[in-house]
Amino acid sequence: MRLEPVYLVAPEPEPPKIPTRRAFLLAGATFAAGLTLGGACGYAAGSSANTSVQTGEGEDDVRELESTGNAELDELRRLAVKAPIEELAEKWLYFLQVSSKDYRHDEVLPRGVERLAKYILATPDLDQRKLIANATAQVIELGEQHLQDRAIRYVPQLRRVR
Amino acid sequence: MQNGEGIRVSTTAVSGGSITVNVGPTDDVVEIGVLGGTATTTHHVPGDKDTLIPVPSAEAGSLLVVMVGKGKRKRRIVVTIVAPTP
Repeated sequence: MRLEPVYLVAPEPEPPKIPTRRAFLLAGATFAAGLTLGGACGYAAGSSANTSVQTGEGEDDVRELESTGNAELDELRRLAVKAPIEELAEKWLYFLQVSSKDYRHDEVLPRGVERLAKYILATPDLDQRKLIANATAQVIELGEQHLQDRAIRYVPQLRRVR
Repeated sequence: MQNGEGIRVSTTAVSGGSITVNVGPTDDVVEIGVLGGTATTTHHVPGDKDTLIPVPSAEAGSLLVVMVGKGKRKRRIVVTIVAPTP
């Protein structure tokens, strides 16, 4: 009878388990890091989307207010589109005279004339209202076609201002 | 007469007539034109003296602009065209 050696393989040692408390802390930290990173990314994406919407609404304004290389025209465009209406109303004669004489073909400035016309009609106690209304009406009547297309409908009301 | 900064001028003028302007001592040129139009005429005037300058033709009720100075120092005053008295 022959005896064969029998090798008993010892079970591989189990990797040391992480203590439950440490595992919990690690999972918690991972979750918190994910939450922070995800929140930041989400906020950034949301802000970007929101900015896009705003840019979309004011896209014309942004494009129209890009520098033309002419400081006077830039100022007139700012008054026309961006400046508070009170400022435009205060500088009405400068705006109407220069825009109608030197920049008649500018596509942006008629927006200022239209803003001014609306403001005059909506502000009964405006100082020199009748004079400004007549001046605005005259500039529209003598203006180029693109100005008339935008603002001629205000002329009858402007002429009735007392 | 109405006063601007360095300019005095009548508030009304007769179309095709003349108008009195008085500018300060540092200005010697007056521009006048129809508001909303492209044409202006330029007149040399002595400072601190009443001077008559011609008024462009325009309908009664139209507005003229009288200007003195240059660039950002340019001052403007509006003058209303009135019908000539019969």
